Amino acid sequence: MLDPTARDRLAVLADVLIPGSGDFPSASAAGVPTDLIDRALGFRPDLVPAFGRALELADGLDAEAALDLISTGHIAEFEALSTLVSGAYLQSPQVQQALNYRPAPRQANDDIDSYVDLLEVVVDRGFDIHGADLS
Amino acid sequence: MQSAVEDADVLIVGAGPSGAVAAYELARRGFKVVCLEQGDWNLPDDFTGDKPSWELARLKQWHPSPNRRGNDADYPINADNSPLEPLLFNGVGGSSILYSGHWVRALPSDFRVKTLDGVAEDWPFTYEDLRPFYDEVTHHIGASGLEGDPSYPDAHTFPLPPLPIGKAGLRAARGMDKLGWHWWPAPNAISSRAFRNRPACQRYGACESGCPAGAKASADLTYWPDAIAAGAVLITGARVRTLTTDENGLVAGAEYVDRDGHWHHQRAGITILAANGIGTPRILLNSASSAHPDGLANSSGLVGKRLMIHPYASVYGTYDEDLESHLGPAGQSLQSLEFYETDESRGFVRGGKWNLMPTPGPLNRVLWEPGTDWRDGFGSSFHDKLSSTFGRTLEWGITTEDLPEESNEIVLDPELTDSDGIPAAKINYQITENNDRLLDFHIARAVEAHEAAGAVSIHVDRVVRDSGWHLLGSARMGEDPKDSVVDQWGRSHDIPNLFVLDGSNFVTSTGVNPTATIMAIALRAARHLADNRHNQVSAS
Ligand SMILES: Cc1cc2nc3c(=O)[nH]c(=O)nc-3n(C[C@H](O)[C@H](O)[C@H](O)COP(=O)(O)OP(=O)(O)OC[C@H]3O[C@@H](n4cnc5c(N)ncnc54)[C@H](O)[C@@H]3O)c2cc1C
Repeated sequence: MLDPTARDRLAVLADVLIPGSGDFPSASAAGVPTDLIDRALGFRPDLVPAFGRALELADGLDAEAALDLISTGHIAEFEALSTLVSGAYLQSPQVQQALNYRPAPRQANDDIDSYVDLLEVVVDRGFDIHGADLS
Repeated sequence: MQSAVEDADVLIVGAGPSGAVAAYELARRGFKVVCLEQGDWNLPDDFTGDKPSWELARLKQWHPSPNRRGNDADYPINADNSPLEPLLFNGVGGSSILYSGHWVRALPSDFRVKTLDGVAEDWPFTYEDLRPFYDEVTHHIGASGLEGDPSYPDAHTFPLPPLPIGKAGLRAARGMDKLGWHWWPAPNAISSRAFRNRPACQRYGACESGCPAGAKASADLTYWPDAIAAGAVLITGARVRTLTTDENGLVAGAEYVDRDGHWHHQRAGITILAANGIGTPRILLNSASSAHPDGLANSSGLVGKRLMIHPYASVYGTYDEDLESHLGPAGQSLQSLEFYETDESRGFVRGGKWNLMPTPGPLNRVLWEPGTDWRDGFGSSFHDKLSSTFGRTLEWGITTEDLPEESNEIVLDPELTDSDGIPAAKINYQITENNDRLLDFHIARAVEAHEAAGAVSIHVDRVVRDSGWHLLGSARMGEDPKDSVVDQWGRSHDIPNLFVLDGSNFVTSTGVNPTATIMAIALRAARHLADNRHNQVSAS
């Protein structure tokens, strides 16, 4: 569980990584530093240590400087931070709606009719098969 | 030590597609079959493709690399000396739990590369010999596809109609049409309609992290239920360290450890290795003894040699409309064999197979690539990158044929072991010059295919590191015991009651996804063994 200081620090970093734009909320407006990061960390407990270290590295630095430092010198920490922040962000229903993302399930409907004309051309062209015993 | 199954006629190591097809064929023909599998069963509900955790979990818990996943059932593989990461799964169903299900037959020329192209060796049988077994397996597993692809000499059939190619497939097909290039709605080992114990595909696009619908034809769902019903005994959590030999030089069975750390010995008259192109040579090399200092069945010196992995290129095209390219199957929607056959004017021999694939999941579109400036994909670029690529990006993936080289090999790592202390495998692998030229040519053509279809931007990943999913050739078959490990029936030249039925036995890699061929070969060999059981030598 992140303490309030860690959440505050995460909010600042996450909003620089993912600012708001048009219909898309910023990371903190989407709920990343609160519920969504907890959920993401639950999905990836292996990333908890590197994520914690990334937040510690940001201590006392301005967000851009912190992200520069972590991404250039601490690859595992930046991977954990950026993957978890974006993974958490994309869980938000508001974000999925802005993206027009309607995940499956969908029916696997037959669509042969949409391409059968194109396919006739392929059949008519034929193919130079090598090495077959055509007897 | 007492065997788990007394009086076993046949011991199979590995419960992937090759082990499963052999288990069913032999059990139904009256053999007492026992299979040792180091992993466990998975149920469709174990997979995360229909759950919010999916995109994060597929980067770790369901990653196709055992090194990244690190499950109890996994064994590590040292791939420091390889540009390709080996990908596989250890459990009932083997790597078919994670496979994409591209269900592709090899072509006739694949079996005759020496005769036709003057390279490597011909196989000891032809496409025509294998054809009935391709047909049988295709119908047993319930593959989806469309009859009549002109790139094959026969209009082979599928029990199920093709899966939808969707808006994305249609867009790409139009591009191929403009160029006059071959394409075909792709064959997949995924059910387009309910088939036996499997429902129809629900288009999650999560095939490569386990099908949450249970629609993919993984071997746990296709052959294992039949094999078990026919009497085969499948023991999970059983990791084989070595094969043992008797006083006649025959294989007596296998020594294995269970998940509680207890060691056992399973005896059997006949032993079949079906542990894949890394697991099988690892067991043979780990079975070295004073009588077999270079490992078992290795008088040719070729156990572990000639590893082929199919270097894979991804050519992504991004389009200016929503093509719903996040929807499955993944799976392939189209395939093209336009540049499959040799044309020496291109400066290389052999070729490759193209598959059109979707790009499921938004997280994949925005992952940071180490070494790049974070501002390239985050900050003010984040939303542009996400919105302009998600649902609009298609992959022409290119499986390229790599020819066998003795220097591309599996050896035992001198230090690395698995969690049971069993020496791990190490891969030494380099891409050949022929393959480098082949990759460049194919990538340039795939770029043209996207351009013809109207892509607004194109991104090339020349050799995808996480693409070592085809592990082939490391115990090759052939007629001459001096330059092959097993004969055309998978039987060891050195030890007549030992068989290798996984893709280790490939002579060349072909340029297509191998599982249909692996299973057809395993079925052919198992049937031959059953038909000729009275001539078969067994350990007592
Ligand atoms: C991500 C991914 C995508 C793929 N996509 C495709 C595709 O689209 N089309 C295609 O044709 N192929 C594809 N493949 C390859 C396909 O999965 C393999 O060709 C196929 O599974 C090989 O079958 P097999 O039985 O020979 O080996 P495997 O399926 O690898 O099974 C081997 C089994 O042996 C067991 N084993 C190994 N060593 C031991 C031991 N010491 N003791 C006990 N058990 C042991 C393992 O646990 C495993 O379960 C893909 C693979 C991956 C990983």
